[in-house]
Amino acid sequence: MADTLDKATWEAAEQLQARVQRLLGHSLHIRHIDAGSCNACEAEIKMLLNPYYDIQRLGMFFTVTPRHADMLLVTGCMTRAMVDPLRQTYEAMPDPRLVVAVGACACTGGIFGQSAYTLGGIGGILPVDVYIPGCPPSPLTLIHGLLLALGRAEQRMHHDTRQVKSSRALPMLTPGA
Amino acid sequence: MILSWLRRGLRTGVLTTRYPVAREEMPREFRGRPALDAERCLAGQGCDRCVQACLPVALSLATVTSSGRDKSAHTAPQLTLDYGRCIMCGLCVAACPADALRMVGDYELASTASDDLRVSAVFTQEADASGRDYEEKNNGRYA
Repeated sequence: MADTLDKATWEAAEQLQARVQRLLGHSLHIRHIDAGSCNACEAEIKMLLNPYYDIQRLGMFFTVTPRHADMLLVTGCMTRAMVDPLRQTYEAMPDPRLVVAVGACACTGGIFGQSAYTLGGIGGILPVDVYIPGCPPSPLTLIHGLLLALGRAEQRMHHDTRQVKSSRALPMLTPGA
Repeated sequence: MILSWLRRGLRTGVLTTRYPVAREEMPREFRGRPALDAERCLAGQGCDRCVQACLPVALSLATVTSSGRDKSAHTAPQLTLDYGRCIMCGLCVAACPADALRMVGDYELASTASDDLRVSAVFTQEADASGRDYEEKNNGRYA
């Protein structure tokens, strides 16, 4: 991928990625959508808001409408019935938008795999930025995935607000992807 | 009464995790992910017990062609572990006769590419210069 793009395009993509991460880095609004989940992932996502994990201290908030959201959190094995609602949700979101696949089901289909009723992961429907594996992923895994999407996963020091660039350009921002 | 509440609150302290700043200690029984130790694995000798035990087909065996030192093509078994499919149930760890698979308490599993979630090992029949008879493929994060 990197070889086929010329240098200027690649630099522009990196700049855009840095700008998106700076804009969303400390104020991220998340819309969660269930694409055929067993609700185990939902239980873990709900735990992010409890006083113990408390992702609001990291500047992340859940919204009820995709029109206010910067990130789409998708759980479930992508049933055929949810393909259109998922696409509509994605299209309703303003740019720039991030997509995170939560759980083994959303990543690859997990224990359900591909069948007549499920597509086996959301990768074929939406451009996924971060995959969070696990069945269900623990809240700490979710926090790591959300920080990875924002390029903040390497951030370890207290009060260190540097934006650490991830080694790989986000697929969403990669031209021609 | 308000004073006693205040005193109780102050004594409790902050319970919120410090996770992204400091690592969190997980309980010993926490099933983070199965880790594959290719050196102990018996897949080269025809063992497939973990693959048989795996429900979501996260572990799979394939036969690949690898070129040995004498540049001739050999077929070798390749064991692939896909964390994107794994449900961290631990059945493969229980099934492994050689303790090559063990559960580790690692919880930082997210990745920006689905290919990065796959680790594999090719079991060539002959040892290379460093005495290894296997070839691991992973992105270094899930070693």
